[in-house]
Amino acid sequence: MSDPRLVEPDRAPAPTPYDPLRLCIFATIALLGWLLGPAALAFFAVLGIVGYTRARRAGLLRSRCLLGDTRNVLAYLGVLAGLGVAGLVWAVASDSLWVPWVRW
Amino acid sequence: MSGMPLRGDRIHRYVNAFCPVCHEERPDRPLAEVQRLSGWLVERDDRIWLERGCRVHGLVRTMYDESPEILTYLEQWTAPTKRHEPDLRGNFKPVPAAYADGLPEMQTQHTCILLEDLLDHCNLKCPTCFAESSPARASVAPLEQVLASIDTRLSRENSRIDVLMLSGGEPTLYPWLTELLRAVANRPIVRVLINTNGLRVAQDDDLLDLLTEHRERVEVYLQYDGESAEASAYHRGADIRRFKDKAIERLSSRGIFTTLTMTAALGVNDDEIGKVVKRALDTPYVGGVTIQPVFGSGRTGAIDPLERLTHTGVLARLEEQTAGEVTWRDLTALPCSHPHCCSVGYLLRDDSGTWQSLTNLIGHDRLKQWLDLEPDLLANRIADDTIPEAMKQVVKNSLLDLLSEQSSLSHPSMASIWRDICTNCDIGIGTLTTLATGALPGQRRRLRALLGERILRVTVKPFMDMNTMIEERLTQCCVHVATVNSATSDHQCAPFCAVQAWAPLSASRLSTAVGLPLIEAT
Ligand code: SF4
Ligand code: SF4
Repeated sequence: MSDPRLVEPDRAPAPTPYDPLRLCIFATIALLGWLLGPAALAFFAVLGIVGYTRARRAGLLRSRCLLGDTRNVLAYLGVLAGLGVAGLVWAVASDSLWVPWVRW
Repeated sequence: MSGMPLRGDRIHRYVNAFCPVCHEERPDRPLAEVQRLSGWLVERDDRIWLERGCRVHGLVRTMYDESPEILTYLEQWTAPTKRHEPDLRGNFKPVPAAYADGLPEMQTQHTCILLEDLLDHCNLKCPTCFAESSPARASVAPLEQVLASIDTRLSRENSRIDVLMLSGGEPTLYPWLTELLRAVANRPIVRVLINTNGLRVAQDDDLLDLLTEHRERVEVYLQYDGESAEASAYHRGADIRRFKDKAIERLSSRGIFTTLTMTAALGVNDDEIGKVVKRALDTPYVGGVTIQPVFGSGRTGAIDPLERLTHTGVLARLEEQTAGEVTWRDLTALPCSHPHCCSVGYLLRDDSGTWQSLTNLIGHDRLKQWLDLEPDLLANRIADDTIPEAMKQVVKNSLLDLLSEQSSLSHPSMASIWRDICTNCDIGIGTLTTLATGALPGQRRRLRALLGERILRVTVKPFMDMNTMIEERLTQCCVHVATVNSATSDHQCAPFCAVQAWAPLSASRLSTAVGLPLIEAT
């Protein structure tokens, strides 16, 4: 049995290299945007509207967003949601489905 | 960039230490081959650990003390040390090799206690005996060698030894004890302590008469490990409690000042510390209690180096085990040795029958002020200071005496010490003050009786083994064992802990170095 008095010095854990996770997330969102087009835009815009509405009810009057006042942000997201829905309608009407380049 | 993370512990102080694993591999290696290692005391998980780097075994960690808080408290109590005369001038060798030639130049404290091992022979064979004594080890130091050793020390101590401790083996078995005590009485030796297991004290009337004859300067250090049969069996190899009780009773009835010395081990009798203190409080003429956590030199095996009873552990246990009558704040470090080496406290019973500690009566701050440990504090208070300078000096010296290794209740200067303290500190012990300040004949005897009944000195003495040994404590050690130089046969001495730990030094103890077989000696 080894002597319990003999100990290994504590070492600093090897530094973990920087994980550029965010860059992957950006690329994935871009992929979704490309694949799903207006549907993705509508989905994320609605998600944003829900989030900011809650935050505003909870008392958040100013956002770190460049638009400042959370009402401006909500307005902007509303416009985006509108564009997304319009895009969807156009895609269905012009017989090009979600993925604009896939034609029946 | 995050850089290096924190260590996660806190360095308490940097020390030089030794490798216990190397030591166990070859306990009798020549002193010159013992490596002094860089190390530190470090606080982690509310404990103090001793860590040193050994070139063979790497980082070696052992437990040093149980309470960082109490250890830090003890470190406040340091006072100036006294000059010493080295046994060999020019001996600047490192520790421990230096001790082969006695006290070296780099020692920083003189001899407060000179310990003479009279013989290796003993009537017990205790499993925890640090001297490895036994009935079979029959080596006895001739009387003239003991006296030569004492005289050498007197010559190096400006012709005065404060405390001579007679030890062994069992010193009451020394064939020339009567002659020795008589010879010592004719020398400038203030007090004599006899370290005994009490077996003979319990049974031998002649011995008791001898001790009574010398009781003004002789005090008995009686081994007493608690009240349980287990403690007795563990430390002494048998249940010998009835002898201890008998010895205490006989010493007390003769008015011989006695100190109970308890060897305490974790899980054996560490829960009996309070009982031993209580016994001392209740027994007249038991003027002291000394608690020694068991240490691993000599025969003692199997002390867990990572979980053991320590100095601050004993102090921490006091409060609960004495129902609050004594707490660690009632003790301070003994200012003459290293603050980790010994703590001391005085308890006094006032006229209403309540036990109070000196620190409590005087107050920590005032005590420090008088010991001059806090010059700043002193400077700050100079404006409202009502104690005249001359009186402060008197009290300071008295306190330094009281809190030193040489003090005990049988010390002849005790009366004047208490007089200074009682009259100047107003500690509210009326009778004591009256007695201590009076000079009528017969009062000395009454003072003695009063001291025997109303004052108790509590000390904790944690000796070091290789798992706890640090160099600075040896350097400031004031408990010196008489040894004999193996090359020149000169008498000299060395720190107690060093002598117990390193075999070449143990072999130079007086009784081992010049002892003769019992038959030949007598
Ligand atoms: S500890 Fe004391 S009583 Fe016990 S064997 Fe050693 S010398 Fe004798
Ligand atoms: S004998 Fe050991 S514990 Fe006592 S003062 Fe000396 S070094 Fe310190």
